[in-house]
Amino acid sequence: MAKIAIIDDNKDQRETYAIRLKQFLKELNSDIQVVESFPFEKPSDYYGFIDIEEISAIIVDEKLHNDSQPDKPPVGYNGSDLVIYIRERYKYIPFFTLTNFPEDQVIQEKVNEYDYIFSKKDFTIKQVEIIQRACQRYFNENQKELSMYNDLTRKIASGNIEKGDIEKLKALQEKLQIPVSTDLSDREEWLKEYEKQIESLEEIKLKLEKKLKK
Amino acid sequence: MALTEIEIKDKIQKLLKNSSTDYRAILQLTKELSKLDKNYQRFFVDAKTLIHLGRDSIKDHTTALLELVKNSYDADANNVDVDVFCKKGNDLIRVSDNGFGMSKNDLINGWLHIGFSNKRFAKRSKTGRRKTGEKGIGRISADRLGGNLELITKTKEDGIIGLKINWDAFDTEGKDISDIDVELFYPKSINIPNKDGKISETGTEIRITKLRQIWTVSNIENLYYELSALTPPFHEVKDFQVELKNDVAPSFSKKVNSEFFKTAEIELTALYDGKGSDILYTIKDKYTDTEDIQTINWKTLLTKIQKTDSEEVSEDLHCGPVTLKLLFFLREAASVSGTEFKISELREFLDNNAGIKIYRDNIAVKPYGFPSSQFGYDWLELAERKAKDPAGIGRGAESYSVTPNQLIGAVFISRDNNIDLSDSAAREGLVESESFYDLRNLVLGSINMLETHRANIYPLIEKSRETKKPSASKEAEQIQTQLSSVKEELESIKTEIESKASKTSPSNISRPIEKSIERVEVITKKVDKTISDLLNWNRVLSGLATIGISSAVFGHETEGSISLFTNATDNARLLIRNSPPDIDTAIAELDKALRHSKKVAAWGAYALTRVQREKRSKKSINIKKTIEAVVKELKPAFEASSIKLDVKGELLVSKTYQMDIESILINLLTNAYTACNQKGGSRNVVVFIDREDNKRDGKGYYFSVSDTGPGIAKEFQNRIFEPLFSTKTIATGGSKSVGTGLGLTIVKSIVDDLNGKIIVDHDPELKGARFKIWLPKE
Repeated sequence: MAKIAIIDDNKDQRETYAIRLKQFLKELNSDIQVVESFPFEKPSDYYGFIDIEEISAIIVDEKLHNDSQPDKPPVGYNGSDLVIYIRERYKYIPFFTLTNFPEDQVIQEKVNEYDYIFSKKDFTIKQVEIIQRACQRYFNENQKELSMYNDLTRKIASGNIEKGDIEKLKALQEKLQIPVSTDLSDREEWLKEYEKQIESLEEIKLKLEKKLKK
Repeated sequence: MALTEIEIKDKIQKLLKNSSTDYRAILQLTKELSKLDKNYQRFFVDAKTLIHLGRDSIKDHTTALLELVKNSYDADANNVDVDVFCKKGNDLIRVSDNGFGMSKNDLINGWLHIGFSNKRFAKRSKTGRRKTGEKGIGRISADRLGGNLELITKTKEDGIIGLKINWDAFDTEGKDISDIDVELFYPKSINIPNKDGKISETGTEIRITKLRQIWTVSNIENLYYELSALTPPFHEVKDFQVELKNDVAPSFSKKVNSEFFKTAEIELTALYDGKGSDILYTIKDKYTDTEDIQTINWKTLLTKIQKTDSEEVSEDLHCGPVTLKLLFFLREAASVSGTEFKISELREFLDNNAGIKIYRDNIAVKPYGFPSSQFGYDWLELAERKAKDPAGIGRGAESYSVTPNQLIGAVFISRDNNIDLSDSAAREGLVESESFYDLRNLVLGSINMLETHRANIYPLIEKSRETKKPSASKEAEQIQTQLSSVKEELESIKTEIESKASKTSPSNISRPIEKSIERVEVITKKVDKTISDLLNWNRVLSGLATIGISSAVFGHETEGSISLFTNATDNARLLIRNSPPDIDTAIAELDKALRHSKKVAAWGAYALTRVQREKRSKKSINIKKTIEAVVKELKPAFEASSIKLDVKGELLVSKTYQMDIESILINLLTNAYTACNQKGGSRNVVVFIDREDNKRDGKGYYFSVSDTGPGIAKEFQNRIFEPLFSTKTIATGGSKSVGTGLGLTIVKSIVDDLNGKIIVDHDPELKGARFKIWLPKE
């Protein structure tokens, strides 16, 4: 199920815009879900959040650093800082800002990073339609690519490699931002090394057998 | 596989026997053949070198275009049309002149011969112009302007002939420069300016398309002024005129000229014929009719500029013959009265042209006096001199100095007569030799002559302006006259008493005294009222400015509440309409809307109560209560940013202006708010009030504002009260300033007015900044 996340430090604002979003999604007959959250302490916390919650679109407030919650102090970054951070890993996730000051210089400087900048004064079904479409498209694309990725890994693991499969897998890994600790070529070398060692063991074994026969 | 010598020769012979000549193939083969030479080899040049050479030798596209115009100048053109059209699809740069043009031979053996310049052999053009370029690479800088170049030229001997160059073809790897074709063509017509009203028999037109760069308005403006500097504005030389046309900045589509010289206040000419040590001066000004002509000795001139003991000074002038012209301008409306110019135009002209330029053979030597060059503009260091002694003209000739932006000057030298003033190896500027220092001192001495003249005529200028006194000082003047008439009356009473005239009855004395006292009282009241009105006005302005600053900072909060109010109300409406209606959430949304509407209302009240009239008069107020009232109003904004705002300390009463206390406090709280927001985690602001008597300043009290922000860096502590200085940056460590830089300036001016003190330090507990305001207790 596709999900949209609303990140805002102000509880009142967060709730009101979540209600609004849900209401309009319902009117649009969409089954996209809405989750809302106080900003996380560190920007890196979002990676886990996006992966676990399977978020397919993000809406943030620009001024994230003001408000606090009883157990959470105010954070030290803003929406325009966050978008840069999220984009490092999720290049294509739909990212929107919902702000009272859409003409704000800081937001305008990062205008290319956002998919859309929405004014809080003008947040109606029209805007939600844009968000819904982007979210659904990203979700579908991701689903398709994920299942392709799974098929490919299964195929490769079973040793059933066709020409170009490895390249396809690499491209998908890159697009889906699936972290790979070592490159495939490394693994190949490692296997070669391993085989070599087996060979030398084999030789020793042969030598031993010869000696024993003597 | 490489061909053998015999094979190549064979091929060449076959080609030569062909009825049509394949020039390209023959060239290729002969080049290959020459590589087989066992005794000698030759360099060959990569095509790309041409592009590098062109791009590296020229600073920017304006300079590249200027190089082409200089070529027109060297070709003895009288008129040059320069067109810059950037509109997509029709982009074109055109430089067209009625100069001598090029014959086919000139074109092939000259223009296409890179690095060749006939200017090296013929330093003067046919009409005696000193040629400007001599490296022979100006033409390839045209690559900077656009990808395609068409050169059409017309001469008496060869008629019209053209070349087509595609610069991009050179921008490939591994090709020899001669592998790339330059197409010759023979057009029927050429578009060049007329000569002396008739169709010119000679000339050159360069058309550049596929422009590399978009020209901005300031590029065009820069080009215009660079073009206007190409020929000296001082000589009434009309033999070189440039007509600029463009579609970027239409106001610069015109004949390049500089009529502004009519508006100069003073005009000075210095002549040194290159012999002896006498310099002839001619000085004219707008106010006197006569020309002041005098001869000054070099050494006398040096004493004037106090340079006699410096190492840079020589016994005699070594710089060779020099003519110097200086024009002095004022940037005032009076300067343009009676001319066709507007003051704004004059200022713009001065901004673009001010500076003293050196012209060698009537062409400006960069960077001297060019406003756009960083080091060359003020090569005489006039600005530094003015900064050291900024005295105005009112202080007389001794210490008055002009500023570089009031002067336009030209130093005329020539390459052949001023041999020691030679080009430095780096592309711009002259070698800083003894001759150069002499020239520099000569100019400085001449500026001193101009300053002396201005100081001498200054009383005259003042007199001509006296009628235009502004009304504020008129009032002061009236008060002055009234006071002096009272003084006169008292004097006369005094003499009467002193004369001890027995006849003087007491009433004779007392009546005028009474009258005088009455008049003094009236004047005093008037003065008092003027001053208190002004102070009151100042107080209101400070208060209004404070509201403005604080609104800009806290306004974000209000803005959020306004949009939340509308959206929550709308949500409630939608939720009720749903089937089934979601009443609980709708009510929660309406509650929220109500809460936020109150916030907006409170903010409106805050702004309105700031400048109430009764706060502007001096009376006993409870300081703590005043502070608490302001804090209460600002608390919601602070809380919305998770900032805890507390007031601590004792109740105390003092006679003062409530508005002043509020203005100081709001400005300090605004700063504390911004500072706190720069850090995450726990945020606190504390206002502390206490009595504090002080040995030197007497009885008093203070209130301080401390925060948990990043504090004020040591290097800024002395600067924060300067007007327009701001450390307020974007919350999460950006570098852009978002403050107005006025808050603390207001605080300081109020505290100074109240005879108080400001202490800035670090709060030991909150670890951020602490501003302590001490005020005398009345």
